[in-house]
Order: sequence, then C-alpha cells, then structure tokens
Amino acid sequence: MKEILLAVRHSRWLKFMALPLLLIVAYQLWASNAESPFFPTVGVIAGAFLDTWGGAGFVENVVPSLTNLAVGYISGVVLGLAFGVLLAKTSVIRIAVMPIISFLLALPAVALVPLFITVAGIGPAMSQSIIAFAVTLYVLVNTVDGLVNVDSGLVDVNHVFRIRGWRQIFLVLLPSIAPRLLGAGRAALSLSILIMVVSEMVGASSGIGAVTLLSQQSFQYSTMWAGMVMVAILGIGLNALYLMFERPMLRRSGISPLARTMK
Amino acid sequence: MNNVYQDTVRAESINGTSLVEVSDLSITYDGRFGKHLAVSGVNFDVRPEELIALVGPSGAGKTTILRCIAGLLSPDGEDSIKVDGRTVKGPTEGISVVFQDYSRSLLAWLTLQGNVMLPLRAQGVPRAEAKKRAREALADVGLGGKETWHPWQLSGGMQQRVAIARGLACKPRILLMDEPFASVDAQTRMDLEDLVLRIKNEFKISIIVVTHDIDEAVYLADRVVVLSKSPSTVSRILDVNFPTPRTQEETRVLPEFGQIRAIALDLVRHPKTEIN
Amino acid sequence: MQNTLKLTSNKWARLGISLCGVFAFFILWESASRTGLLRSDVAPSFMDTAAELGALIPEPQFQSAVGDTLSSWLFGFAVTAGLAIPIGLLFGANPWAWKWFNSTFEAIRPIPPIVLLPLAILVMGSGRSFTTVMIAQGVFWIILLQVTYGSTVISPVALDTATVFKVGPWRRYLIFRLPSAAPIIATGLRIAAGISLAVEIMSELIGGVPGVGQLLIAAQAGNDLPLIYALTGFTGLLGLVVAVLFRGLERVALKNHGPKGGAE
Repeated sequence: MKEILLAVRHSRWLKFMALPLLLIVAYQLWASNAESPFFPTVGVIAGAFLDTWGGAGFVENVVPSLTNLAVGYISGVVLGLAFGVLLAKTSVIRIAVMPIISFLLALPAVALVPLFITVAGIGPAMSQSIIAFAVTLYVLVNTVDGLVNVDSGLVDVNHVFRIRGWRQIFLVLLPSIAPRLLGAGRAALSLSILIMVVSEMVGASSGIGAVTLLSQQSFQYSTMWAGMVMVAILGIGLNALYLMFERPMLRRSGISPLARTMK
Repeated sequence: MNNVYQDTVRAESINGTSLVEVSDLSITYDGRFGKHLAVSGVNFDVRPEELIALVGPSGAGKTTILRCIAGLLSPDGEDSIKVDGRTVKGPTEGISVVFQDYSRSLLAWLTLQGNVMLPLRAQGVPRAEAKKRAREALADVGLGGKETWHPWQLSGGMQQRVAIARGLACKPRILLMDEPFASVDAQTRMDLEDLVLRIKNEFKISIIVVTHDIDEAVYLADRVVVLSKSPSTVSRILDVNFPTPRTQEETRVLPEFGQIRAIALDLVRHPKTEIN
Repeated sequence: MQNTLKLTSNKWARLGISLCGVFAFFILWESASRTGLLRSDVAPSFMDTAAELGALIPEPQFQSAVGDTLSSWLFGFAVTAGLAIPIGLLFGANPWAWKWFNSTFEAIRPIPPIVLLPLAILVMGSGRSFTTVMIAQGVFWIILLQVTYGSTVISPVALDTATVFKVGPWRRYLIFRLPSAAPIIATGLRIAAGISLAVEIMSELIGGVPGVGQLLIAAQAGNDLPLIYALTGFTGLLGLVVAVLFRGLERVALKNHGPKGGAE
C-alpha cells in the first residue's frame, strides 16, 4: 500500500489526471442514474464524438474551422509584429495612435462579430478577419510595450557597435523580448479559439461552433456534447502544442520559462 | 581649478601626442528636479597605448564621462571630446566599450561566437573574416574551443571575457571599460585585471577604465585621473610608473603602490581637503 | 544620441500628441467617408456614428440594456471572485494540496470560456444564473491561479523574519502574506474583469441574454450599420472604463510596494 501511495505521489501523469478522472467517473455515475436527455453517459458522448467529427464530419466541419483559425492567427501574429516594430521605432506616431489602439484593445473582441458579419458577410473571410484583427492588436501592443521598455543595456550595445536595421530588430531587440512575445502569442491563441467558436455560433452554418449550437437547437444533445468536448480538447490541445514549441524557444533564448511575466 | 596638471594636459594636446582629448567637459542632465550639472569642466587626455583609470567618489559622474567618450551621451559643449583631433558626435569607429553588466550587454540567445561576430557583421565585415576574427578574439581572452557555447553557460568572469573579446574583435584603438569587474569575485577580478594589462601590451591600444576600486586603478593605470564630488572636476592626475611587467604579487607590495594608493584614497574619501 | 527624444519625454507634449492623434483619426474617418473612399456599406461616417450614439443614450431601451449588461457582469464577476479568492488563498497556504491540483488547473485554464454555453442555456435558460456560470467558467481559474501564485511568491527572508520575531500564524498571514500577494491578485482581477465582460457580451450575443449584446444582434439582423457601429463603439468605451478602473485598483495595491512594485 505504501509503495502504491508513493508511486502515485511521484507520478506526474497520475497527479495530472487524478481530478479529471474523478470528475468523469462521478459524472458517469450520476448521468447513468439521472437518465436526463441533457446529460448523456460518457459512452454515448464518445460515440457521438466519433460520428460527428470522424470521417466526413472532419472534412466538413473541423478542417474549415482550423483553417480559419490558422489563417487568422498567423496573419495576426505577422501583422502585429510588423506594426509593433514600426510603432516602437517612431515615437511621435506611436503616442498619437496609442489611444485608438488602447480603445480597440479594451473592446471585447467577440463584440466585433455582428459588425464583421454585416460588413464581410457570413463565411470564412469573416472568421479569419476578426481573428486576425484581435491577434494583431494583442501582439502589437505587447511588441510595442516590450520594445519601448527594452533593457537600456541593449540599447547601448546597439549604439556602440552600430548594430542597425534587420540585425538590430531580429538579432537583438525581438529576441530580448521573446519571453513576453511568446506569452502574448499563447494568450492570443486562446483568444483566437474563442473567437472562432463564437463567430461560427453567431454567423456560420458549418464549422465546430455552428454544429455545436445547431445540434443544441435541434435537440441532438449527444452531438451538442460532442461539440463541447471538441471545443475543450481544441483549447487544451492547441495550448499544449504551443507550450511544446515555446519551451525550446525559451531555452534557446537563455531565459527560463519562469521569467515570463503576466501583465 | 587651476592646478598644474591641467596645464600639462593642454600643453600635450597642442603637441598632438594624445589620442583622446577631453577639454572643459561639462554635462548637464534633465533630471526629475530640473537641470542638474553632473560634470563641470573636466580636462584630461589619453595618449596612445596608455591606460587611464578614472576614479572618484560615488556619484562623481565617472560613468557619465565614459558614456560621453563612447558617444552615447552629448556633452554640453560642442568640442569637448576629440579623438584623433576629430570631435566625437556619436559612436565612433575605433572605440569599443566593455559594459559593467555582462548579463545585460551580452546576448543570451547567441553563441559566444555569434556575440563577437555581430558587431563585425553589422559593420560589413564578410562572414568568413568575421568568423575568423571572432575565433581569434575568443582565443585571446582564453575562451578558445567554446565558440558554440552560450553566455549563460559561463561564470560571470568568463562572460566578461566574452564582452572583452567582442570589444577587441572590432580592432579598436581605444577600449572603454565601465566598472568592468564590479560584479565578479576577488580572485576572478585579479585574473581579469592581468588580462587587461596583457591586451593593452599585445594590441597596443589605449584603455580607459572607470572603477570605484582605488587599488585596481593604481595597479592597472599608467595615469590615474581622480575626480571630485559632483559636479565633478579633475582633482588630480597621478602618474604611475611601476616596473613592467606588473604582477599582482609584486606590484601591489611596492612602496610606491602604497604611496599612490594613499594619495588617491585621500582625494576620493576627503574630496574637500585637496583644493589648496 | 539620446538627447533627441525631448519632445516625447514631456508629459504635456505626449498628451497633446495623443489628442491630436484621436482628432486626426476622426477627421480621416469622416473625410474618407465623404470622399467615398470608405464605402457606406462598410462603415458609416464618423459624424453619423457619433449622432447615432448620441441619439441612443437618452433611449430608455438602451439604458436598461446597459444596466442589464453591467449588473449581470458585475454579479457574475463578484460571485466568481468571491469564490476564487478564498480558495486561492487556502491553496496558497497549503502547498501540498496545491501540488496535487496545480497541473490540472493549468490544463483546464485554456478551455475556451464558451464551452459550457450550449448546455448551460439548456439547463438554466438565459437568466442571471446562466451568465454567472459562464463568467465563472471563463475566469475562475485565472483568478484562482493568480491568487495562489501571489500568495506563494512571498520572499523567504520575509518569512524568516516572521519566524524570528515569533509572529503567530494569523498575523503572519495578514501582515506578511496578503500584502505581498495583493499586487498579483489585483493584476489577476484586472485581467479577469476584462475577460468576464467579454463573456457577458458573448452570452448576450449567443444566449439571448438581455443587454447590449442582444441589441447588437438585433441591429445586425436589421442590417443597421450606423447602429452596429455605435453599439460596438459603446461596448469599447465600456471595456475601456472597466480597464481603467481596474488599473486604478492595481495601482492602489502596488502603492505599498515602492516605485518598482511587487514581484510579477
């Protein structure tokens, strides 16, 4: 018994899974007793998950959603970095446009969905452009803030050794704020997933969000659950994927992941 | 401020033997509480292949003066600082700097070689040559074979050697060092001091070292420039003529070492008593 | 050299430039609309949008929608924070329990705050309990993690000081742990306030909860572009006010930590 307890204590995986497993078991016990149509059992949900998202459903609904996510997110990161560097380098323009940018940043991105639907119509362009818009803003603000407050020691190095142009940006300045940028990229990814689902729920007929909400409205509760599970898995999975890619980047930049700050 | 030393400075600059001329250097800050005069009429010069140590009480503006020579800060007067007879108007070719805080001035995400190569590449040195010069510079400071390491894999003293290698690789005529060994332990410090002396002789360059450590200043320098309290002026310039090569064990016990050290220490600790 | 940044280092000059920037933005917007560069099916002119917003404010229907949004958000946020802060403090004081749950909580955090919406609306309808559950699901973890983290970052020296002076456990908590945690908790609350407002709007957009979000959906259905712009702009102002208020709270919490503030 003692050995088992010890093994449990030292297994990260077990520690990690203990609470979720407990919750799933509790849910299963409760759902099989309650027999409520709103709460299907774990087996039923798993079956619906495979039916909804496997095979044709994958191509019809998962692929377009993920494509929108990728296009919006990547273009947002690129634009955010580019404009962020430009704004950080031009102090007068930066100070002039910052109030507008702060306003747009304070505007909850999901509130933009009706506006974008009306202007861009229903379809992938709408999802992609809202995601790109929100990610651009978020990355831009973090880039500008990081670069403006960059360590004065590095500024001196750039001056003394006359490091200019792309070398200054890509070899000195951006790597020095890498921890912050990587943190911002992660938060922006979470935001993108949320916007993707919301925009599909409000203004799309296909995609993960649309299938989930439509099945709820047409009383197919196990499909609805499959959608909810899919959204949760996407959130956790993409975050884990991001962390896998972030960790070696941080290590290479010589900064421990703990040094990242939440702002 | 009319002591004899200033007059000698003037005379020499006219003769044209000095590499760096600092004449009537004043620096005013825009501080939080209005304008603040930090440095007021400092004069000294640096001759070729000479090591000058700048010492003074804390807050005397030693680092500020060094930053002006490096072209990182504008002095009040137009022509206060001249290198080779030309006014310094910004970072200048031929001047390299070793900063105090290696953890902030080295780039953690580049290898040692990458760190040393970056300034060379930025000044248009072809890749192959930059690489060769970086490797040589690293070997010169005792870091041969560690080119692919990253700064954070090294101790503080070793990191400061990388910073010195980066400064040397640019083939400067003047190397500026701002409290270069303030954050390393005493043993390492001595090794690094000897490294600086060796570099000076080997590469025939002039060096200006800012330090708060009087012993270090006397051990390293050919002349020690002692500054007064802020707004600082030059209290005195002390000539240091020890037999070469200097060694930590022998030089530091010379009676002259003790004498110069005592004078400098007195000037720094009791800045008011000297102005007569 | 560094003395060239004079203009932008003066506080009043900065304010002036910012104001000029805002005016320039409005003028550009208006003239783009008038010259036809900005098509009216993409965006109404600035004056039309401002007029629409001006006409909206005295309307009782709009005022009650704003009241609904604010009260529903504040209620949900208060309930969530009221739960998450004490639990976080308990976890913070109990590192063993934290070790067990922390990786799970970290894993749960990236679940998008919309995940429960279809089920919650089914079970609870579109009332206050629905929005509260949505907000709780969105920001409970954020506050919990931040509070726990905040109450564990206290410096060992401070704790040693407490031990040397034989400070009892309660005082130790109140005098040593809480103040050092306050700035980090305040940061967590600021982030959570912004997200929970977004969750509130989202619940109104999709769940039919009364509020500004519902007006937005109605405007979208009616294809009323000026109204959509006015409402979206108003939502932004709301977000800005919330952000500024919570920045102020954060500043108060940081005040006792000297100019550099506490650990972040």
